[in-house]
Amino acid sequence: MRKALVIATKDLRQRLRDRSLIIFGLLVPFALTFIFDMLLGPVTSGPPVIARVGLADLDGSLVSIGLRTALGAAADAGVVTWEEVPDADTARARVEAGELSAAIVVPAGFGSAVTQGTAATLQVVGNRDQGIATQVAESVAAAYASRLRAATLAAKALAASGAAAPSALVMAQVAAAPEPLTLTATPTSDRQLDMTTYYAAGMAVFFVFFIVQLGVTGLLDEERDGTLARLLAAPMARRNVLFGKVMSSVAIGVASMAVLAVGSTIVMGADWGDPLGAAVLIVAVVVAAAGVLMLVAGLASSPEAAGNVQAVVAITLGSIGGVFFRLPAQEGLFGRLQGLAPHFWFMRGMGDLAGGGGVASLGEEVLALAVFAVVLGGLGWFLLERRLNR
Amino acid sequence: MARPLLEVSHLSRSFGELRAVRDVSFTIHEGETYGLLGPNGAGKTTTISMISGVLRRDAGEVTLGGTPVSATDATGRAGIGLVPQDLAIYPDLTARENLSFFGRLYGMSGQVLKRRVDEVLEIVGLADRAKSLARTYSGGMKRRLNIAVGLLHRPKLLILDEPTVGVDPQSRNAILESVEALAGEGVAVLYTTHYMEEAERLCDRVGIIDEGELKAEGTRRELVDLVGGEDVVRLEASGELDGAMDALRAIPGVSRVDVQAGMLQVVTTGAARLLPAIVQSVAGTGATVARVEVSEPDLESVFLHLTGKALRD
Repeated sequence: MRKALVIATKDLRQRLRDRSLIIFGLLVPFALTFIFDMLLGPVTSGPPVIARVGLADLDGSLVSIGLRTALGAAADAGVVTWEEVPDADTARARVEAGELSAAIVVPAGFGSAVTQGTAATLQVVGNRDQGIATQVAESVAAAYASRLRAATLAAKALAASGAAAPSALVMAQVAAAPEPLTLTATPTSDRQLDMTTYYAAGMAVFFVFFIVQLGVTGLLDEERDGTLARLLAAPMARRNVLFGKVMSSVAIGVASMAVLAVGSTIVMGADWGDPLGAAVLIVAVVVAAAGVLMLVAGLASSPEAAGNVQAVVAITLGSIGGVFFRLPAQEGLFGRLQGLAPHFWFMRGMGDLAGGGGVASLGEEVLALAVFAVVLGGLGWFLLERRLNR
Repeated sequence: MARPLLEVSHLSRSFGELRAVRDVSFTIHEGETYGLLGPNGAGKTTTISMISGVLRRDAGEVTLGGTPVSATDATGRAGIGLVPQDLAIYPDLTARENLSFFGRLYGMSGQVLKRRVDEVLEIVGLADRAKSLARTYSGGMKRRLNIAVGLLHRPKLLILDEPTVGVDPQSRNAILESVEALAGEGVAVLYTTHYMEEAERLCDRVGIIDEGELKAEGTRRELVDLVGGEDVVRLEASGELDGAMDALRAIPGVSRVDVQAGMLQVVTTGAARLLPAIVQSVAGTGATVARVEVSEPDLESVFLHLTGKALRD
C-alpha cells in the first residue's frame, strides 16, 4: 500500500507538470461551460416569455366576451398582455409588423354558433419569429374553446333531460372560469438543473473521463517507455503498480471535478446542491470512469490505441448520457442505452440534488456507478494484472 | 574463490512457438563481472528479465545469496539492481526526483535516501544537474542516470543490459569505467552485450549465448582455448565466392570457412604459414582479393567457432 502511494505521488507530480491536465481538466470544461451558458442559457432559462396578444372580437356576443375574461386571467398570471384590435386585418398587420406576438380573431356569429351547437371557429394569427409567444396565445384560445365545448355538451345534456338550457352568458362564465383545482407534481424526471449548473456538471463529467484516462493509460506509457521493467523489478507486489495508477487517476479526477464545482459556483453561480451529496456523486462517477477506462486500457495494445478508443468511449457515453443537451426521459432501447453511460447516472444524481435531495437521495445513482466501477474495473484490473504477470 | 552469489539453473522461457531461452544455467560469484555475449535476439534480455523477476519463467530456478528470486516473490528482488537497455527514467522528473522515487520503492527514506541520492549523483557525474528535468539531458547523461537508478539501493548484483547501445564514444568509455569501478568495489555485475571488446575488457567470465542457449562459458582464456588456438583470416574478395569457399575448405589445416558481407572468414591453425596458400586458392578460382586481415583468437572467433555466425548488430 505504501509503495502504491509512492507510485501515485510520482504520477501526480508528473501530471501536474503535464499541461494536458490543466487544459482538459480545468480550462476547456470551464470555458465550454461559460460559452454554453452564455449562448443557450438565456433561451432555456431566461425570463419567462410574455406574449403580446391582440383580440379582434368581430362577434361581440356574450360568449366572445368570456374570452376577454380568460385573457385577463392569463395576464394576471403574467403569461400575456393583451389589447383589443378593431378587425382581423389590423390584427394580422400588427402581428406581421411585430407589434403583437399573436392575435385571436373571434369571427362574427361565433356566439350564436356556440349556443346553437353548430361549428364555430376561433382563429389565431401568429408571428413566425415568435413561436413560443404564439403557442402561448394558442394555448389560451384552445383552453377557452375546450371549456366552451364542455359547456355546450352540458347544455345539450340538460336539453335532452327536459331542463332549461343555460344562457350564453352562463356558458361564457363557465368557459372563462378559473380552474377550481390545480395539481402540482414534481416527479424525479422533472427535477431539472438550471442551465449554468447543467453545463458545469455536464462538462465536468465529460472531461473527467479524459483526465482519468491520462492516469489509467499511464501503465501502458510505462510499458512503452521502459520504466515498467524497473517497477516490476522493485521489491513489491505487482498489484501496487496498478493500485498506484488507479489512486492517481481517481485523485486527479476528483480534484478536477471539485475545482470545477467550486469554480463554477463562485464565478458563474452554479448550484451543485448539497455539498456532501455532490462530493459523493463526484467520487462515485470518477471511480466509475476509472473502471470503464481500465477495461479499455486492458484490451488495448498500446497507449496510443487506448487513448483513441477511450476518447471514442468518452464522447459516446457523454452523448447518450446527456452531458451536451437535455435528453427527455426515454423509454425503450434508448432509455436502456442511457443507463449504460455513467454520465447519465451522474446527471440524474445532480438532478436529485437540485430537487433538494442529499446523500440519501443518491442511492440508486451511486449504486449504478459502483456497478460500473466494480464490474468493468474488475475486468480491466484482471486484464492489466495479467499483462504485468507475463 | 569467492562464494557464489547468483545461481541460475535450467532457466527456460517460450513465447508461443518461439523458445527464447532454453535451459540456461550459470553462476556469478561475489565481486565478479560476468558477461552474456551474443547477437541481438540471442535471448540475453529475456534471460536477465527472468533473473531480475521482471518476466515469469517457464522453468528453472534463480537464487541470490541463497534467496529465491522470482516474479512473484518480492524479497529476493531487493538485492538486484536492474539497468534496462531502454532508458528507464522519467523525462519529466529531475534526476533527484527520479532517484528519490526509485529509492522509496526499495524501502529507502529520509536522510538515508537523501545522502545516497547525493552519493550516486556524484558517482555518475550528475550532481550539478540534479535539479534539471531529465528530458533536458544529453543521451549520455540519460544513460548515466539510468545506471545511477540501478546503483541506488546498493544492490548485491547489478544487471546491465547493453548499457552502451546508441551511446557516443566518450559516454561509452565513461560507462565502461563506471562498471570497472563497481567491480573494484566488490559489486557483482551481470553485463549483457553484443560488443566483443566490451566483454573482453570488463568481464571476468563470459557466457556465450545464441538462439536462447548458453553455448559455452568461462574466462577469456578458457573460451579461446575452445577454438584450439585457431586464427581467423579475413579476405575482402569479389567474384565467385562459392568456388573460393570450396577451394579454401580443401586446404589442410582450415577448419571452417564462412562468408559475411563480402568477407571470407577462414578459421585455421597457423595462419601465417597457410596465408600464401589461402590467397592463391581464392585467386585461383577467379575471385579478386582486395584486402587480407589475420587476427588471433578472440571472443569473436570463439563465437564464430561455436555458432558458425559472426557477432553483429
